[in-house]
Amino acid sequence: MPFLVLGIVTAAFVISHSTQGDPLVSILGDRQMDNPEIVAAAKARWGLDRSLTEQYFIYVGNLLTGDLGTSIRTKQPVSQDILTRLPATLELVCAAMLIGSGMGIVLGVLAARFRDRAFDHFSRLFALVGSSVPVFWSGLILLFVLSVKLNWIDGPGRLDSRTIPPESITGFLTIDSLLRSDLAMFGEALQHLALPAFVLGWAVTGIISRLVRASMLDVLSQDYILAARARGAREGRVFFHHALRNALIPTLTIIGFSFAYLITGAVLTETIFSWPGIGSYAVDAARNLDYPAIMGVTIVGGLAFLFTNLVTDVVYAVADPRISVQ
Amino acid sequence: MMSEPLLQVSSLTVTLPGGAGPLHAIMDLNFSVRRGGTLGIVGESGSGKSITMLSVMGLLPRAASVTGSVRLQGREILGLPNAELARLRGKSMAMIFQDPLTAMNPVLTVGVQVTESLRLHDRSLSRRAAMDRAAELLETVSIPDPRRRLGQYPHEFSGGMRQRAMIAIAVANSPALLIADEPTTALDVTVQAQILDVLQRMRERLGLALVIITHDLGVVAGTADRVAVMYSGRLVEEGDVTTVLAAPAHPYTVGLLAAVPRIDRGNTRLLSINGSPPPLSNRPKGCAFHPRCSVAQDICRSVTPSLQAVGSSQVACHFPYGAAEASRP
Repeated sequence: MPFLVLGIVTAAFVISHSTQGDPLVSILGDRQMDNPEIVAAAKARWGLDRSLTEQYFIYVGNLLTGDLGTSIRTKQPVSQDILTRLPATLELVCAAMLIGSGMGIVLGVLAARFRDRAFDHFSRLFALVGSSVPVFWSGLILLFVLSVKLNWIDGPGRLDSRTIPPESITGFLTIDSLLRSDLAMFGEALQHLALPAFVLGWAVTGIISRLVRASMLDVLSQDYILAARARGAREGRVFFHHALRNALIPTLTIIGFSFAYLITGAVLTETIFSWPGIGSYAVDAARNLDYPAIMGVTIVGGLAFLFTNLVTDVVYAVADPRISVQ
Repeated sequence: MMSEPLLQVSSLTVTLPGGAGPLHAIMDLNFSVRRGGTLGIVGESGSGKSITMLSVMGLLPRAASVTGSVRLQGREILGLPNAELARLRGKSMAMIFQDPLTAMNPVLTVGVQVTESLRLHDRSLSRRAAMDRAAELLETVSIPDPRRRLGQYPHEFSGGMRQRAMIAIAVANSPALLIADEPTTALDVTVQAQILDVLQRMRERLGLALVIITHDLGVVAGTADRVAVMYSGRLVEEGDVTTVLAAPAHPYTVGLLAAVPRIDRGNTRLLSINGSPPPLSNRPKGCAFHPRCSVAQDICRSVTPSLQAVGSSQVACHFPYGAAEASRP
């Protein structure tokens, strides 16, 4: 595990520093680049006068104390930038995964139940559209129709632009407002969350529902399903008590993977819905050659993968009695 | 007055959908099982043994078409709605399977699976009472330390122990009929005898009738009182086990017996039946066995023989052994 983290850090460092740009330009601007004194001072200030190897070891050393460096663009510590934006992304991704795995499991189970019937075809189409239509298209269309034309839901952002965001407790607006028993705020946050979460969730529904369907069909052909019927279990019980739990075990992997993927993969959705998350932060960082910020986001994304993998393994051991955690 | 048999199967025909047209898996099958009796159904793989008993249980896939009559305890059960059948399964008739490794749900404890059998048929039974009863059941099938075993998962059981647990699940509600589909095939030889012994004990204790599906004539000789030999979806010989094994009438039964190793005959070469069973999609005309039969005549290639009484047995053959030898060429 520590080696994996070091590997991620090193890879992030090498890749971000192999780009052909000069961050000084974005720090100083074109005019000040002509002044050698200012350039030298800026180089010393940002450590750019050291060799790349030195920069690497300084970076890793700082990282051990939790210091991700200072963002060139916002002039704030990167760790602080990320901490203020990560909850927004996590809230979006958690909601998206709830919707995505919920829809995926229900569609997959029903598709297996009504195999080759109308519902199976419908769910296949729904999955295909969700997986293949890019979120910037589906997001824009849904936003336009539901918000602008029909005025059913509010526009982009986490809250109305006039609402002053409350003091953060967990950073999850829905949870924070419930903790404060502020139902009006909860409703507002939920309404803003619903559409981007659906758009993002729809994209992962496809793969989850297909996998659940395939694994349900596989499980339903097993001997222990026949044995359950032979002792008098009705179809509903066979389906939900005997088959579903076995069928969901292989699905756990893909749910965990999708979760980790969405944390950094929600960029487009965050951009369209003006969601102040880590994805839009990464885009801004990349545009400005903000090395510390780019690396910070990369490392957080990598850690998210490692962490969800770990959680997935633990959940596996809980769900499948044949696996034990040492 | 002859009492009605426990299970009476008449004119059973099973047709399965196939890529190149329907497959006739079972054709015009008739047999019965008396109360407390043991019937061994013998045949090679693909002869239709398992499909026959799955259709009795009503467990064939929906796509299969089953016609004829299956009467259990005098009641016609073929074509009953699934909910009605579910009430009978596990209550009046139960089944155990070939591979105990795959026949238990890996994510549910053995206790959950044994008590499920009890509670599905007795809604008023409490969880605690069901567990007590389950522990007794494990004890009757000779599983030591039943209380602790109930909390374990199937993968913590050995193959033999799992088959015992499957038997416990099957006999939980004292069914009148227990179907055992190759119950010992997947087990070690030493364990096979123990499992057959448990089955016999259950039969005696609960007075249930046993149907053992097997390709092992040794199993039949040791446990059954009647035997039915199947070949390519048809019954070819049926009768009292001592008669059939001592004086088989159908050339196929003769061939099967010749292929059994005998300790009393010394180191002679085992005989095998030439060829292999025909695929269901391409069954030979006439008697399905004629391409492999050493005594086949022209009539065997065109006319399907029907079951006829030969001695105390029933045989479907134009030239059965033990009939008037003069008619044999």
